[in-house]
Amino acid sequence: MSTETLNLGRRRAARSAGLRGALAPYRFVRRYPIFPVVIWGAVVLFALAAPLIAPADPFRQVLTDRLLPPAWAGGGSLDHLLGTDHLGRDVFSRIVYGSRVTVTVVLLTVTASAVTGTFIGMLAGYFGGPLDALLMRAVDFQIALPALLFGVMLASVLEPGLNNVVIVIVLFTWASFARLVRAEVLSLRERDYVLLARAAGAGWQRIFARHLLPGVMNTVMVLGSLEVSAVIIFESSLSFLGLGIVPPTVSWGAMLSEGRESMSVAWWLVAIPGIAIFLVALAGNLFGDWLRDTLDPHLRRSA
Amino acid sequence: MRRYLALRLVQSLITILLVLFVVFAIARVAGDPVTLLVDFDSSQADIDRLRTELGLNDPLPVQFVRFLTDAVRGDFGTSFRTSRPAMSEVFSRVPASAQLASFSLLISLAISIPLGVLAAVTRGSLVDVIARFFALIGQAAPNFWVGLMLIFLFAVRFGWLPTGGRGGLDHMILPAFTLGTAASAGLTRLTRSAMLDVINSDYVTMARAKGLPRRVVIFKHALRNALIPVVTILGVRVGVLLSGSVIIETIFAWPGVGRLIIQAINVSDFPVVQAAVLLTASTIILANLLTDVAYMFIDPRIRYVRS
Repeated sequence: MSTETLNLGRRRAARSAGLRGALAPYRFVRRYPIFPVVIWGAVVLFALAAPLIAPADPFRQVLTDRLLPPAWAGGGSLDHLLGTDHLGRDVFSRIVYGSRVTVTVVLLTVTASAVTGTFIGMLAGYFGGPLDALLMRAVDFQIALPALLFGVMLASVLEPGLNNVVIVIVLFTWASFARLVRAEVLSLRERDYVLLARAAGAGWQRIFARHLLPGVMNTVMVLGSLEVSAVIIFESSLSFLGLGIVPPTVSWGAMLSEGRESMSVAWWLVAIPGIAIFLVALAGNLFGDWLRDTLDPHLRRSA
Repeated sequence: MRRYLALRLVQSLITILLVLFVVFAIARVAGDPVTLLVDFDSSQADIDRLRTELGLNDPLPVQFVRFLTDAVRGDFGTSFRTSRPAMSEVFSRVPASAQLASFSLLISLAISIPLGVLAAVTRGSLVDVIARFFALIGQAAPNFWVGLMLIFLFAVRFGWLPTGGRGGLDHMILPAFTLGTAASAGLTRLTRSAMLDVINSDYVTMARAKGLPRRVVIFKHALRNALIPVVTILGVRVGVLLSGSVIIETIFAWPGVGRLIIQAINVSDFPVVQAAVLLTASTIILANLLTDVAYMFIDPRIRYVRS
């Protein structure tokens, strides 16, 4: 932000004060991660206290109350804040319960990918040589595979369900952690404190845990939060195709897929789960951007 | 330079070989194909005979080598559903997919390059803010959801465009736009930051200082260099497009390879799934290879970096 830009704009100096004023909230939001914290706070709260928050049983079908629109739309009522679906189930309650899948999948996949990727990246970067070459070819190959394509194929031969969704996503996410961590370790391992630790006879386990891990932690956390949106969209795509989380478990992707059937008469059944996925993914990206800017000013993009 | 080319070619071939291995391995995870082929009342003797005929009693490495030699000849067996060769099933869907993918790529370039350049040149302006919001939103909105909402708005609510299927140009607008915007979010961001980097460089300052008109500096000095990283990412974008077409083609009932994969998965038609995934993956690997080669010609510096 501080770099001097050559004045290619016609009169940037005269940029109106009005525009700057209009941008103030945007700047504020960028400086503090208010939006991500609010969104993720709400989603985690939904997941933890779903029975307390949900006004209705997410599975209870009331056939007389089918396809009721959201409260603000014509014909809607406050009984069903976000309307009901084709079986008369309360959409808001289903969104609340569906957040459990989202939170669980994000926690498990991001943690597992980060741990695996970091360890492999450290091994490759620290030991170098043939081990490095072998591991990095595996990383290259993993990254060359189009994730959704192979994810769909792999998921189709596995039993649908939470465990397999997590396995499929982790298989396609660990490699980017490994690549980034290796690059960092390549420079960290030449630092004096690492060389000294090695000279003092510390084993590689100790060096990894005490001397390298703290150095790569920032990068891993930034990448981890930036991966949140990719993971959520991956999961919802699989669930949408019926290859991920399948009913009766409530998930936002599967809600989209069910809602698609009655989209022409009930737009909210597609709009609402989609907005939920979108907000959570957006919050993840904004938090990642904020974390990167805060933890590592060097990485701060001109963006 | 020739060495680099040869190296990349060998790497791509190895990647395709590994893809073949993965496709083979996933098929074995899927379970016994014989159970899908036989009737309920077949005797155990019939099943055993079929297993021997299909070579399923051979050791796995032997099976893999046979799978490889068949695959090289484009033979993936016959579709369980239509009894036609799997590869020709897939090939009959290629024109539709190619049409959609190329149209989407054009749309995404037509949106992202002008928007990215304009945003960088008028940094901090309203256009810049809009471009950044577009990039942010485009990267967080699930592609298939955007497609469904577009169908609802333009096909169901307003009735301007068809909801799906392949036909005239009007059939292509919504799917191509959906697929194109998903790719253009990242491309806009990249074009903008590449352009900003170049604008801050000494030779652009120099060009401005010697009094060249702004337009000449932007297009001749800045844009041409800023496009280098954009070209590099194009190969990756083709991968994202083809991979994303699996779900977008399904939503829009577009009769391409992506939809074929989902249809074949739903009826456990594994030869077709294998052939389609392999063809798509090979196309993506080829696109990456071509991008790297193009990159080498555009940016001579790369030759020294990777000697």
